[in-house]
Amino acid sequence: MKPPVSLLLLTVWNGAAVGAVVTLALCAPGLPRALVEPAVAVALVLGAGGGAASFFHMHRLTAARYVLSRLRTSWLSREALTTGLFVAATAATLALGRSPASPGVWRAAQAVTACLGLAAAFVTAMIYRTIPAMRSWHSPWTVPAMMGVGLVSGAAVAAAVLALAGAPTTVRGELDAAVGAAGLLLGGVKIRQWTVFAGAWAWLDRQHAGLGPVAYRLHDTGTSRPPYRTQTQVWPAVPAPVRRRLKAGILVALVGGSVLLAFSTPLPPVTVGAAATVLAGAFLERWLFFADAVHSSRLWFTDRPQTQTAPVGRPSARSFRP
Amino acid sequence: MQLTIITDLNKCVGCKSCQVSCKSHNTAGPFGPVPDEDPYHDPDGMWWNRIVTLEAGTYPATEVLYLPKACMHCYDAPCVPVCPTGASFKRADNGVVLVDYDRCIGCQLCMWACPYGVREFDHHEGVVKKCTLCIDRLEDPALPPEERVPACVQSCPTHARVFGDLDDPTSEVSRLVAAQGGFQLLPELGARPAVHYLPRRPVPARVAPDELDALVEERYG
Repeated sequence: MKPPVSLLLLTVWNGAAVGAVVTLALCAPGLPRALVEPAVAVALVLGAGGGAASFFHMHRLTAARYVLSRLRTSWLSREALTTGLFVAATAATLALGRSPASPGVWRAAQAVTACLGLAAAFVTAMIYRTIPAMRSWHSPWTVPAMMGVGLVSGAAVAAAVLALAGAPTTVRGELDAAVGAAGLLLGGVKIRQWTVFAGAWAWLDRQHAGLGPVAYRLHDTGTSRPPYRTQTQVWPAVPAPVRRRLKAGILVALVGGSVLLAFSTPLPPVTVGAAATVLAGAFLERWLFFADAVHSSRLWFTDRPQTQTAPVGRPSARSFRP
Repeated sequence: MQLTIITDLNKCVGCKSCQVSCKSHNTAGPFGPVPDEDPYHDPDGMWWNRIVTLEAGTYPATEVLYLPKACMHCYDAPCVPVCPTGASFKRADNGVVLVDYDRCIGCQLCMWACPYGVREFDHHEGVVKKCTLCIDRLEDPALPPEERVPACVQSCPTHARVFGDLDDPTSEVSRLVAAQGGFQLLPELGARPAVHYLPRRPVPARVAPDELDALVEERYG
């Protein structure tokens, strides 16, 4: 499908904000408030930026006042609520940090914000997990992969800000090592999730236009071309070589960046560079997550080029061009 | 009550009159327009009803099949619960799935949730549009009762499309589905679509003219 820029920014920035806040809540007891505040401020900027990006995904802002009216059934409605609460709680935590509030109140605010962030990240991932028609996303791996990317990229951002703020190397060393380990784990989760994506294409090949086991060849989608303008979920598929390169790039950036960060404690500039690499990997990962998603309606709009290995029933791209 | 359309794939000749009449009626109707980007040069864009042309079987035993595809007005329409604003809804009195444009924010999540790719995004108005089962015709008291059917059903020259209440076991659509093995598209995705298709019957074996007398003699002689 066509990767929407607004959703790329929303999910990556909000995920990183959650990851940063959770990381800080776990590290905060060992750090002075003045060191943590800049990282909370960065998390607030990321969270607010993600929230702002979500407005660009709405094409009729006048109807936005109804967005909480389906909390009972809609994960998107719940996302609007939980993400809003998370950003507000992050702002409140930052304000509390700069007030003469006691350390206990400050730590409690951080813990509450971290919990709200985790809830927001979970709800966001569930939007994608609970769509049966999106065969690539309708899998148990969507939630851990999506939350994992957010937590690792956010932890990397927090580690970079703490490094710039001059946090002690004892605390940073443990955090950096944890980011490296989490990055390795995330690489495994992503590889497992990509097998689900490959399985979604295989599912599509088995459906034969939804009409049974007989071979069907799509001749005409009903109009002169697939409805790319009006149905973004059937955007042209990512070519296999591009997909392979992107996967390699994601692993290098997400996993490699995390491992580099694990060994960068003595050199703060390297920590910052590694965190930037991880964040770039998060954007790459999310772009491919959207671009390579297989929707069931591709059965009737597909543009996949026919190859020697494709089964009978797979149409030629030429079929759709006038 | 669950209003629906049944399409007999034996009768559909792929003339696309239903596709065109849908666009024609709804472009001028209260739920339209159904816009095109460049209608006089490249008549492409939004269609609420698309006729997919398929070749079935493998050469040389092939045949052409036409599959009219519009909103399935599912019993468990997956597009409805995902909508954050309540713009997508299913009418309790007749089962028709509709979009309230005033509440739609254009997030397009319903388009992802629909397994059939029958919802279309109108970039001009920023809302998602779809087949309404011509609800404006069904409830138009100015129309004579026999014309209170969807435009695609009325225009079908071969009467391949039949309109009626699937929940009424005595209706024509229910009888057709029961008698001819009506099927749904992708039932495994759990949407329980109301729209059904009547399957193609096997094509009788073709007999060459010079073989005809021998065959008749063999079978009936």
